[in-house]
Amino acid sequence: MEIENLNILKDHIEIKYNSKIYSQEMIFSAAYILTDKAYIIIDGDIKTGLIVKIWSKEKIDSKNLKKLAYDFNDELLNCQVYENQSTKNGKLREIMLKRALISNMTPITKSKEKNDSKEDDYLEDEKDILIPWEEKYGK
Amino acid sequence: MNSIKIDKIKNEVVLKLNLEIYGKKIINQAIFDYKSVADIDFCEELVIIPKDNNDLNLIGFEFCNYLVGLKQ
Repeated sequence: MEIENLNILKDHIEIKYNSKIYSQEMIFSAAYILTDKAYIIIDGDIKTGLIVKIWSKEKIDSKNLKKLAYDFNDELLNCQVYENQSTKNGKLREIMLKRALISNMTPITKSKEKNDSKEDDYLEDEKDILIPWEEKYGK
Repeated sequence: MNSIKIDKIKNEVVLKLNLEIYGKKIINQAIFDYKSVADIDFCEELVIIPKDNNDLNLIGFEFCNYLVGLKQ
C-alpha cells in the first residue's frame, strides 16, 4: 500500500494534507501525540495544503520512517473522528451538563427550607418547658 | 518554506518557520520559555544560540516540538 502524498527524503519524511479534509488544529493534535517519537515541523499553506515533516528521534531506515508516517496518519484520523463526534454530541452534552447543574442546585434550597422548619419546631414549646415553675404551678 | 540550518562555527541554529501556521504569539511564548536555555533572536528568522554546550541539532528540533505543544 502506498500513499500518494508521501515523500521520503534522506533523513526525514514529508506528508502533504489537503486543508479542506484535515483542519490545521487536527494536524497539530496528531503531531503533538507523535512528539515523543519524532521531531515534527509543519509547513505549507493554510488555504491549499499543509506539509508535515517528520524526523525520527532514533536512527531508523526508510521502512521504519514510512511506518512513522503511517502512525501519523492513524493519529490524524483518530483526532479527526474524535472532533467530528464531539461536535455531533456537543449540544447533547451541553444540555446534560446544564440539567446536572440545575438539579444539583435545587436540593440545596429544599434542604435549607427543611432546616428552617426544624428551627421553628424547636421554638415551639409543646411540653411547656419554657414556662417558669412558679408560673406553671403557682408557687 | 520551513528550514533548519545549523551553523557550527557561529554555534547557532537558524530556523525559518511559517508564521501563518505557528502564529507570532506562540513563537514569542516559546522564546520566553526558552530564555534560560538559549538566546533567541526573532526577526524574519529565528536564530537560536544555546547558552550551554547543547547539541545544536537537538535544540532546534526540540524548539519545533515545543511549538507544536504550545499550539495544543
